[in-house]
Amino acid sequence: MIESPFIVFLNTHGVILLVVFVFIYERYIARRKELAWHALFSALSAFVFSLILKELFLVPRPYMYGGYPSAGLSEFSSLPSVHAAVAFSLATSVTLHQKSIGVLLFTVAALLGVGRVLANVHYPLDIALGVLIGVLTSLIFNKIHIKFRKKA
Amino acid sequence: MSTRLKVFLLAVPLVVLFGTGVLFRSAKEASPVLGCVAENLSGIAQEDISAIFEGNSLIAPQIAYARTGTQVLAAASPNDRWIEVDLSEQKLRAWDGGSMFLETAVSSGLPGTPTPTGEFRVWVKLRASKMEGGEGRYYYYLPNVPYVMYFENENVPGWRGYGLHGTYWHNDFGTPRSHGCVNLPTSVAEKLYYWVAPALPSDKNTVFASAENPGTRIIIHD
Repeated sequence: MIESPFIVFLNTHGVILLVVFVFIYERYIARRKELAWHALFSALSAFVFSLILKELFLVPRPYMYGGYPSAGLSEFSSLPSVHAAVAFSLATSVTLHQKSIGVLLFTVAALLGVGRVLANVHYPLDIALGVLIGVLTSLIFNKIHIKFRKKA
Repeated sequence: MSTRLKVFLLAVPLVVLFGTGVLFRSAKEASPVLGCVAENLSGIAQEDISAIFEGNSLIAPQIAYARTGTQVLAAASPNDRWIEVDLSEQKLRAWDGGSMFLETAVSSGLPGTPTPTGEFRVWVKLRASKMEGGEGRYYYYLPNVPYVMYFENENVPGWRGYGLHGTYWHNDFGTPRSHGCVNLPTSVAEKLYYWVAPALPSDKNTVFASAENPGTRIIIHD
């Protein structure tokens, strides 16, 4: 469906660039240290948690039942989408501190989610669960840190 | 609301998700994967000829009931006959000792529903059978699947439903297309059907392999 190598690359590895870019921008350029670390840690935990869930659900990816994928492939199963979890946890963390960039990141994350479905590597339900995991891990991280800061 | 409570409430959906995952994994490990299981082993034609494959309706022709062929006898011993299925090439070769009886392009299982590999023997031969399975977009309902030859070994028992059979619902031989069975072009399936042991008595629609009448060996490899 989408065969441009650039789009395929963005659809597959773009999320890593996004995390690195947001962290470097917030930490070193905008110098919002707390936001940078929140974003990085919630993205990492969303990544780990959704990988564990993939190992539990073991749902084959849609292209395995027909059609061809137009994204880089991995051996991991379909449910939930790690890409969606990481992108949405990043967007949520940033939104909690800074609305304007957060809205932009939510748009990028939504595009990524749609792209994964169009590329035949995910079902919409995988994306929905990825979004849920991403948003929840960010909110939890934020709450825990507020509590931690109050004590300190 | 205290922060601790808020964190707890936020974590509940994640814990529920995790628990569901554990249940899913256990259920999957407890239930074996099935191929294209026949509804019954009578081999008798079905009146119902409306088939469904990948969301399309089609007519299921009653191909296998013409009783055209007769069993092709072995040149040497029936034990020298064997069938080779090469999954990476998507090819089937039938060997009679050292000479090749036929070679054809096939469609084996898709990556999500792979064809098992190993050494098998045909345990039952049916003129035709109804096969139903898959889910959602990939639901299939196929009456009168012609010339079905089910195979099994000690790791993959017969009831899991893996076999060779003719195909009237697609023509993509050479690319994986199936839910685990090996799809053959119907004309090739017919030739193979009258070549594979056990031989089918002319008045019967189904025949089981036995110790005196063993099924042909099938070797499936990548």
